[in-house]
Amino acid sequence: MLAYHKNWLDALQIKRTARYYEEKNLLPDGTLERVEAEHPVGFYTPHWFTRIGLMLFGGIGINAAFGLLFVVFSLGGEMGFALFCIFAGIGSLFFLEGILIKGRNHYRSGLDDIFAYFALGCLLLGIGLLFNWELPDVVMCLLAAIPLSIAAVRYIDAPLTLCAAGWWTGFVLMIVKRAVGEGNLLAFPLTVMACALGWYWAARRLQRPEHLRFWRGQLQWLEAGALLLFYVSGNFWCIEAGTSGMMEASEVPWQAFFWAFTMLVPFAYIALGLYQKDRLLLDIGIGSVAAALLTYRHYHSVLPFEWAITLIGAICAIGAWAAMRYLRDHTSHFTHYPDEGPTDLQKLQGNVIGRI
Amino acid sequence: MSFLHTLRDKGLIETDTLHAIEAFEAKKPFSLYWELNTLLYLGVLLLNIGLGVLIYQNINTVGHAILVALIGAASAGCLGYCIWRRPAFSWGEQESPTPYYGYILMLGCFTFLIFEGYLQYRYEVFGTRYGLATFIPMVLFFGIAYWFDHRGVLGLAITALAAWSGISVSLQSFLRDNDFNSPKLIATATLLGAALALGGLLLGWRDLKRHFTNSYQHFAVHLYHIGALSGLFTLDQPWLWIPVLALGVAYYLWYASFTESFYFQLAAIVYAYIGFTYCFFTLWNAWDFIGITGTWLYFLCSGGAIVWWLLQRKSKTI
Repeated sequence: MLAYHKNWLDALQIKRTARYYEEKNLLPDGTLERVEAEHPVGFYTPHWFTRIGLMLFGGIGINAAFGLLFVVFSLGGEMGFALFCIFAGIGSLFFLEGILIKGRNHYRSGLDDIFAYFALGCLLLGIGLLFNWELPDVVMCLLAAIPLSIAAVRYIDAPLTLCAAGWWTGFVLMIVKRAVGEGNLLAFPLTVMACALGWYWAARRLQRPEHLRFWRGQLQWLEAGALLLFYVSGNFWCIEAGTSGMMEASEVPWQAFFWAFTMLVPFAYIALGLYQKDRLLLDIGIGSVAAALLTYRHYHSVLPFEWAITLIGAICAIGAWAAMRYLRDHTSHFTHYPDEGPTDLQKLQGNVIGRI
Repeated sequence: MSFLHTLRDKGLIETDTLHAIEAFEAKKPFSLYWELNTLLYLGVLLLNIGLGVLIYQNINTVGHAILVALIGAASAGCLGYCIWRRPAFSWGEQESPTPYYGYILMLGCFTFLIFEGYLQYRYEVFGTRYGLATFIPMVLFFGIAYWFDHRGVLGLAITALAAWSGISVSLQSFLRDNDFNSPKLIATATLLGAALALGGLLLGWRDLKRHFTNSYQHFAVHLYHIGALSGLFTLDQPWLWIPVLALGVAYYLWYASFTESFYFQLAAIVYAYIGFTYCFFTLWNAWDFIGITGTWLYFLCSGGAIVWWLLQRKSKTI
């Protein structure tokens, strides 16, 4: 099922674990070196700036190859283009599997990412064109969701996982639409909420079994996406935009429920995040608080803008300062010191903030 | 934990080590470092924006002297705190004495900018000498950045330096013609980029705050190349700007190789590619004789060549 070498994926994780405990001075001298020597990894995984470069210029190259072949074969008509897209998609998949992954051991190199995205994009475009975009919505969602899911599992890819989950959610929505009709204003948000809860439950559950360890990273992304989707599906502004924009209804049903949802769910996320020591819940909860405040301000202008941001700024700064002071003397459950070194993204964020 | 058990089963770690790690994991407190630091930074930023807007809006209703005094006191208070808590000066990198020390320093610098802007707005202390208005914070921020060892303030100082250079050169034409493509502005940006790059390199080489070198280079790589590309695109002097661009790309490829920085390598390649593609299609009119097929071929070969070149570099992280 996996495109990549399983032993190397395991070795990679073992080395990361050993490096983490080495940084914490929990491994005796020489252990890390022995672990690294015992677990060789043959993947080509460059630094992530090189990965961006390979993705960018690989993308230019593969799109140019697509354009060149299309011009050379000069296939006319929509059907010809559809077949050409499917052919290009299949060809890219063969190149990805046979040469990049099996031949050159690429893993997260940028090239394997871009080839997978390009191949799937071509296949989906080709299938859509082949049926002249006239298939029922349910079938279209299914046709997109199935190859994306297979690719997400095979290439352990987070963006593909999120796309696949999005199409599956669309598939469920289309079924509900057929069952209850377009006029039911509550069916859509409640269905999306149910889907989000389902994704969250599945993502949490699938992270536990040992034999699914290779997919834990992308399941965490799915978990984050599900938490976001759950909040968005009940946020009052989103509900109103949906009901007035898509269904042309003048009033949002169950207003009290959706207002309570908008204001309470972020704090529930934060409380649960702190209680369960779950960083995803905590961080998404903090982001959702900002969304809740913006939503409330959109409908009820309590304070002028300048007073509002001054007040929020002061609360954030003083709150963070007070929390740091408190945690300095109370370190049993929480700390304000970093647990591990910053990730590459956090380093970049630090660099950007440092330069603003 | 299963990976640790695997290591124990393979005899790579002892059972005692495994138990020590399990005890560490059980007792380990949950880190709120990134959350609290992000909140602190956002708080400082929002507070500054909010206060700035409030002052601007109430400029005629609150006593000016009171406002000036309040802002000045806030700035002085923040800087005073940092002077009180700062570690002894060193040309090396220093640990922050408290987790919020850097944020208070930034708040002091931001409020100083508001203070100075207010003085200029209300009392016109600098008159029309706008250069002086940017020169003062530039000197102050460079001093603070080195004295308190803070890269964020160094960024502010370099920004003030860029503003000072740009305004001194072309304020009149900027106000008169809104001329962003002026040769003077382009030349200034390019020269300033070169000066920052070489200055940063020299300071690092002399071991004077070596950890600041990358901050200079980050500003310089974009300032220099955007200046050179603007010159190539808008000024009719390819004989000058092509070598200038090539020089910058060569320098940053060398610097990237010297410091093993993939960021500078990528930046240099992207700027080189933009410049070369522009020359190929615009200056050498390649489109006229290669047509659509040749254009696709150009992008295929150029993209492929850079991919091949990147694959040859030593950039494996595993």
